[in-house]
Amino acid sequence: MAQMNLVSAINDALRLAMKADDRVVIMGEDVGKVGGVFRVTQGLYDEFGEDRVIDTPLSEGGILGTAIGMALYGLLPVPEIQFADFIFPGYDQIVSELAKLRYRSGGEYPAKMVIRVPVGGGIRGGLYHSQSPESLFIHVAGLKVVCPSNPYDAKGLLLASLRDPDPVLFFEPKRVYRAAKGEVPEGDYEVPLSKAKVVREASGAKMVTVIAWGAMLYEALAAADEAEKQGVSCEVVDLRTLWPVDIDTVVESVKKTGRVVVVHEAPKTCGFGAELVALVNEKAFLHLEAPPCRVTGFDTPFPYTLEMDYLPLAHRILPAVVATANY
Amino acid sequence: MQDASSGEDESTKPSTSKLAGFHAKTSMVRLLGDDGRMSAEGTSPLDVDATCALYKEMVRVRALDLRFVELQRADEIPYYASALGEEGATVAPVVAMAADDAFFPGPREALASLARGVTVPELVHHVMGSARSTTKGRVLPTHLSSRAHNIVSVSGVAGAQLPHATGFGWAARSKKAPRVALAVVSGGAFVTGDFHNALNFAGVTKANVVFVCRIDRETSLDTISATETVAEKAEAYGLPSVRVDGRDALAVFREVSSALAIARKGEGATLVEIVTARAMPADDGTITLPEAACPLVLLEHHLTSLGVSPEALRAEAEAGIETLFRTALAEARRVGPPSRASLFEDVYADVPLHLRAQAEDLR
Repeated sequence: MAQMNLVSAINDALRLAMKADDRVVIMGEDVGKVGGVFRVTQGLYDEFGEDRVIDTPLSEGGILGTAIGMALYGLLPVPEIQFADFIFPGYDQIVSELAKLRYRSGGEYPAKMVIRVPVGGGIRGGLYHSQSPESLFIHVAGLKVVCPSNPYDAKGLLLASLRDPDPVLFFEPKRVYRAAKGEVPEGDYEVPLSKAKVVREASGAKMVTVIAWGAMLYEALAAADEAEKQGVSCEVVDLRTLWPVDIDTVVESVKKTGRVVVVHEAPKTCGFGAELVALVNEKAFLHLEAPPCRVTGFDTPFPYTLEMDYLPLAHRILPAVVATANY
Repeated sequence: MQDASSGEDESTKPSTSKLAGFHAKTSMVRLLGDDGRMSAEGTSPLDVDATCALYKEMVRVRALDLRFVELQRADEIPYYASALGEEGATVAPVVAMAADDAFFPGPREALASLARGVTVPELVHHVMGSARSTTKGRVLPTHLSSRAHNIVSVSGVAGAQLPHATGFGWAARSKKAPRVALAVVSGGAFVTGDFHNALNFAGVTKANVVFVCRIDRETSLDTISATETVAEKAEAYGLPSVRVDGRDALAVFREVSSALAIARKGEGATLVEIVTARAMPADDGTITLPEAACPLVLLEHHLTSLGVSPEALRAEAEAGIETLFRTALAEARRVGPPSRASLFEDVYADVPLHLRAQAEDLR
């Protein structure tokens, strides 16, 4: 076991995958010689060469469009989009092409890739380096969406994503790229897709399920610590894979606690929290002791100087948890 | 087809471009004279047998195209995009490709797949969306896909396949494989962002790819492009280009073959602009195509000049098509659309839980 952060764990997974499978190619803006804007691909260019770690022109539509062609050839591209905010010039290629190729070709032409995308705010990045557009991909049939919160999961989920037959959007919470540290096994292992993890169990008279993922998991845990002092026990669920979501783990927890708070950075309206609340209502309505609650970003563009007010940090989660517990 | 007017040879038309050096790009390659005879300085890229084979493929494509137009007029299918009058431009590039090359067509190249070995019944089942179609009744009649023939699934987004072809050819080049991707777009798809991305990436990577862009000579580019031709746009991407008269299937074959050969050697991409005259069916169903603009007529003149009877070839090519078509049509009607359960298949490799639940809702 080695101590790693998210960056080194993802780098380790990429190196392992490239060694084991010569179909894997990394591509994107400055992923080669520079090692990526966040240095996630550092060292891979020297180890695997320019044909497998490819510096591309600055054009997300071009990166994703040509990656689809590579996948159709039989390669396994891992394009990096520097920031989730910049994925939209390539959005059509993801939505109209990548997501639909298997279906529209009657299963004959699947295009497999894992798109790595740094996501989320809290890094003083302003409108265009902070957004969390996961629900815009969850809404598109044919895509899988993953968002790890810690180094162990990041490595295991990335290796699982590469071996999964479907295209995967792999969102990396950049606020905790280097802050999230932990023990990571050397060598190969997988964290299965579509399996959430209960990272903190609740017990006692007043319980609340708190659902989070990525960087906001740490805010949920911090809020849970504070809630404990006020006599509220939180069961914190890290979704890990957003879609297809492990709704069974969520529902099982909600049936136990009777209360649920969903936390995400993305804007509230039609955010993934809305779908989670709807699913909880459909599957556990009679177990609910309080209305499901969402603590999210606001329905505004992501701000610059006021980002700490925008983000659903622990100090905003805590009162929602306590109010839900005391409803 | 009626003879409406004689086509004017644009090869002598002076360029209006203000930029010196682009004048050559506005000329058009043509091998055959209006009488079908090979020009004095030209040589045919195909021997007589291969020329006959090309002609027969074009005849088959025309014959089937007309039948599918009829199906749309009868409202049996909701949509159909024909390429009547463009057979030289649609068929010759496909004939020039190797079986192992990947074809990235647009909607109007569906029938050219005949020349890649797709059968009439396969096309009929596809166009009708029958349960027996390779695309399982999921896409519009001209959005073909056939892995067995290296024909990549057609998108509904014009030009979206261009960067796919670049990526495929890029992968082939990096694996040192003698395979080429050939993408075809028609209409205004050359003004899209995907066109720019595809050609820019191809220029940078020297991908094994050929871009074919068909332009209807009746379509004015004035409102969509400040250049007079599509071909001249290649220069800014560092790519060679050529402009060919789509009436002349032999010229199209020669230019596309040469572009394929360059790409196959790993020497990069070429943009081929083919200028065509598409015959649009009128509201009353009649189809008017000036004889002088018809690629079939020109090739017939050429065959005659070689001492070959085009009538006999035409009869041979058309023989059996009507029966094949009617039999397949009846069969496609009988088979009908795929099962409702198939609605949830191939969205993912396996049907996930949420889709299994939705499939239950539909039952």
